[in-house]
Amino acid sequence: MSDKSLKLKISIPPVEGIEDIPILAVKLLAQKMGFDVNKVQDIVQAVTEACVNSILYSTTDDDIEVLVTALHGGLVLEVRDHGPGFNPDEVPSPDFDLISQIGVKNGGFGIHMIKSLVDKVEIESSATGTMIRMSIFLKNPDLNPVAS
Amino acid sequence: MTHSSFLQDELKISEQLDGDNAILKLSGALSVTTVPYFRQSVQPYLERNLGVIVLDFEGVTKIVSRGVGAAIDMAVQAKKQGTKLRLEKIGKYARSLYIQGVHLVADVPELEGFEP
Repeated sequence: MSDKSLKLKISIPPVEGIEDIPILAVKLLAQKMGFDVNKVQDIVQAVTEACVNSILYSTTDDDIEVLVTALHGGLVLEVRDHGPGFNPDEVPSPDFDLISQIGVKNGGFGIHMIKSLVDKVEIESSATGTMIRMSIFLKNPDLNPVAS
Repeated sequence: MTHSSFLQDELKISEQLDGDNAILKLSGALSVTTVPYFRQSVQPYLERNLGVIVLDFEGVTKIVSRGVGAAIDMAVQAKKQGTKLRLEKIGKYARSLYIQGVHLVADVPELEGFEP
């Protein structure tokens, strides 16, 4: 059995509700790695947002890939879709003064939420798809049973 | 995006009226699929000029940012009409709600150590 990093790849069709499958797998892995209960929930919420966005904006039946890498120091989650893409630099930060006056009205703010929940976010997007990579670091990696 | 009947998220909302207060208990997923039903179900209570509308989150099994956004819209509308919107039993979803600023427009339990 390898003592290197552990990799999982889960492919899901862009169907509403199917995201629960990778979410549950990621949750179990995060628990086994020793993330505390609050961090596990943050991870679950971040991967939920990423998967839901990928499903929501898919324009083909091509699968969405969820790549999970468990490392000694933490967890790296990648969600890749084949949607039309977007410019991450054009996603505005929420204006809470305005929201308090008029509300959100349409859409959520998934990217803002993901950035707030994980330690590092990288987004690559083009006309042929989007990859969002989320890294979450363990506070005490020496207690991590994965790749130790 | 396509739909599959057996995978479809469900949300149920049960009501309890107490004077000019309404307690709405959510049970199930607050997801992209169920947000329209969430909005439709709460809207009549927002239009009744009640004193307090409580959204009880104890039975919520999943939440997405659109669902939180819907709760924010409800709180803003309620505030304009002099109604208070209170979220109770938010449990593990507290951080997600705070990150989106729900605490700025609705009554929510205090979240210790939250830094925006």
